[in-house]
Amino acid sequence: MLLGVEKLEVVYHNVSLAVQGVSFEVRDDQIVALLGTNGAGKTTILRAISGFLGADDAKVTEGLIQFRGEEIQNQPPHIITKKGIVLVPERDKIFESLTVEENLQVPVSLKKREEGETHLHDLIFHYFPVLANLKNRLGGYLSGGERQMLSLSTAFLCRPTLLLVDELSLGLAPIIVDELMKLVKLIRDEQRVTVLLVEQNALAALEIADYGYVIENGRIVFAGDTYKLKSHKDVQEFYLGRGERETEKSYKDIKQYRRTRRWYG
Amino acid sequence: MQMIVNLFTLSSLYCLICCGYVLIYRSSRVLNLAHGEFMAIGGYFLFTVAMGLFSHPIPSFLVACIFSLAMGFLVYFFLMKFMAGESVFAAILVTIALGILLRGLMPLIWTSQLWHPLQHLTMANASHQLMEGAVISTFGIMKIVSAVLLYLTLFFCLKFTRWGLRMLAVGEKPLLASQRGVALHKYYALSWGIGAFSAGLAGMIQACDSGLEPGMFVIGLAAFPVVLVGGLDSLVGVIPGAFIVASAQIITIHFISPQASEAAPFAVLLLMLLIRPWGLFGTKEELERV
Amino acid sequence: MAFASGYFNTTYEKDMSIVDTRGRWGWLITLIVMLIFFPFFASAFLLDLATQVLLALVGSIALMLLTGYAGQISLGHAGLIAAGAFTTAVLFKELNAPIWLTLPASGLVGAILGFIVGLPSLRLKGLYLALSTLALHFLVTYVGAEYETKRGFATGVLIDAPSLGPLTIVDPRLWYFFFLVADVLLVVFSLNLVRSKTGRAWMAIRDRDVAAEALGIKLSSYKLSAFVMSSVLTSIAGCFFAYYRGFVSVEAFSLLMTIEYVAMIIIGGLGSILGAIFGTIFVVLLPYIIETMVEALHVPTRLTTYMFSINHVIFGLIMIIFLVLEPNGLVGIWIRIRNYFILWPFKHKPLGE
Repeated sequence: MLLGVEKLEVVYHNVSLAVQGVSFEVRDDQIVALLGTNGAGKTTILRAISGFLGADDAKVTEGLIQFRGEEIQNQPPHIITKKGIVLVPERDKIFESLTVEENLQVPVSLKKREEGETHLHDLIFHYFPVLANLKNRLGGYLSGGERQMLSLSTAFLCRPTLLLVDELSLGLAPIIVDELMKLVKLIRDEQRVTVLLVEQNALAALEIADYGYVIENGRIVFAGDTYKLKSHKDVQEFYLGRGERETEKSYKDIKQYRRTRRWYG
Repeated sequence: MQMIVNLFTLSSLYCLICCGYVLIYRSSRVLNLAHGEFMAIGGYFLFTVAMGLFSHPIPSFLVACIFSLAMGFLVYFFLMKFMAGESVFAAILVTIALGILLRGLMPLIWTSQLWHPLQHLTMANASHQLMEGAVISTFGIMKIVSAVLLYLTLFFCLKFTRWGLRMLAVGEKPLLASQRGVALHKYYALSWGIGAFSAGLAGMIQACDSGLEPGMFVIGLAAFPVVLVGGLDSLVGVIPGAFIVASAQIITIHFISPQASEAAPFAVLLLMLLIRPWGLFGTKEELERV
Repeated sequence: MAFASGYFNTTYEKDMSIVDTRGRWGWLITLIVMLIFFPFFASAFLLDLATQVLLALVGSIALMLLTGYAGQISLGHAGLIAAGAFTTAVLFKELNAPIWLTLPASGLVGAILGFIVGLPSLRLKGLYLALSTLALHFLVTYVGAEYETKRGFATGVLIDAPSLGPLTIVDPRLWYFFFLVADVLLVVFSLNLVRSKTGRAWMAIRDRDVAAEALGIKLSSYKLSAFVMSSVLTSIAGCFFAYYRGFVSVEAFSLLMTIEYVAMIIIGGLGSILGAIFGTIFVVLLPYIIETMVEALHVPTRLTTYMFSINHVIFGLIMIIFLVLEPNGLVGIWIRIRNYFILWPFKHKPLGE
């Protein structure tokens, strides 16, 4: 087991509980997806793992996060990055005032001594050929998809063991989302990087994930491998957009509809 | 002609002081309002070292510069580090408070009388004749020379070394830089150290040129408008900014009154804020970010 | 405390009220009674301290409205006080004007200056705005200094005590009541202003001005109104200052004065009138506390000649401590203590609220 989260509890501003009793694990070379709607607590979990809680006045108050057997909760971010956990954030993902080339020079690789820099850069341009043409373009002028690619590249340049990806698909066209997801899978396959993917777009995430957890209101409500998730009725209805009825719903039905979620069965 | 000479020396002094402002602002987005006090303390460091340790100028300056550098590091590690996540306004207020603290400490440690470090340095601030009857002092020349050297070094390092690039990255998005393995604290401390060092150097040279007393920090205050005119995050902009503000001051002294020369830089500042708030060479986005 | 025990507001008026429970009315009335009887029981020294606090409160509430509620940073406070004081001085010396003329005149000058200084706020934010207000400070002090030298008042302008009808305010107790009345009016005015449409607009602008604009709040008129309102009050504070001291000189209006006022609202806690009150009391009392402590600790006389510098050091230290450890100021501490007792035995609210 590469990453283990046990009964995690995160509190904001000493008063507001965002994540309650969350436990999950990520095994080597897996792609694990955390699914859920806005405000479910997914980003909080990623922040707790990568050490960025302090910036929002949040704390891990209970539970533990274990990476390779070592406890890492409440550690400062640069220490966690040094251990090999790198985050691709939801916002603020590239340096807009630097060119693409300069962006790629900023990250500090964890395997500095073993690999040459040119080799790494060639690898980047192999996976993201689009970036090769954009070397001298300012980061601020890149499109959404290009930014996401640059962000993935710079994260990759740190040679992480565990890659945390926050909302890869946000704001991107479906065809680009598709391409990016395939790239993430390729990087996992060829470079042995484990990936923890946080996504609202369950459909896209489940295309590449091996295992998934569904989070609601700060609690994990369902877990299983991709097949189990895709075939569960509630996941289908609430996250994959497929309802039970084939006919149009009447407004009256929705108003009176009280669906009890069959999470515990 | 004398006016032109004064212009150059004053501008150089401003350049020395202001590169610290820009460096600190660029990396931590904080306008260090204690910079004037850093400058004054640099002068006092030189005085103490000259009086106590070496009588020769070169080692004295060197040691005093190291003290200034160290002070910058200390200020970062023991104070500004804790303001890393807070709002910019709060961080600026902390620097104001730090300035007040230092302003109080200086007379307590060194008393408020006028000192002349040169007396202890076996060196005289000789006057040199230039053309058309203008004179320039040795330390006036020092101002110009050190400003030029410092700037050349800084430009080179920021544009062409990886550290400079990382410094820029840290200035733009510290969180992202840290996620990419860049040791934030190292770069912040470095910018504060270099900033304090350049201010201290300015203070030392100024102390040798005109004497040392606690009221020196007002020169740092007059240096604000320079950075604003040039652009808060632009090292290049400091140079024209310094010349503009220095000219405004010199012209005001000659044609209006010495009293008005205190207000002159701020009149220039106001003008700049109304016309082009981000300065001559600053990035426009800076305006919205604050 | 009312809300913890399940006190619900059933009318709009109840929700908006400043004093909402009978308990609070009780405390308020006790406080007012104490304040009224204070001068008759206090020593001259304490009375002077209290009067100083009350005088400073005018300026600090003005700054709190501008910075704490409207979010506009201003470093030109001393300049505005100087403007009010000099207007009073000039009108008194040149025209022998009485207080009921100089007071509104100061206010008017404040309004004009506030408008001028407020104009950059439409384009600038935060740091840039602060620096333009700083420029105001230097320009006003320059004009004041010019007046002093040109008219021969090198050491400052002397002003007679003001007279309100038959009363000439010279006696310290009269000053105390004068300021007490002014302050009570000001506090009531501010509390009402803050819960009005203008106050809400200011707070919206402070928190997220882009969103405020999207909601239809005209940024320019509200930002300008914040500056003008605050500057009028500050200039009036300057006018009071001039009369109370009896003496106006440009040296009194240094940057340190601005920083003292800023410290008042920061240490007190940005965003509440109560914060202005706490902060003002703290900052005005601090030099006297330091003096008492210095005497008690038998500090060597060599250092005591530098009381000014010692004040600086401690003032700077305290500001730093508050800024680093408790950004919400004294009010923040007060609220934390209060919340501890309200929520006890719960540590924090459960998820979902």
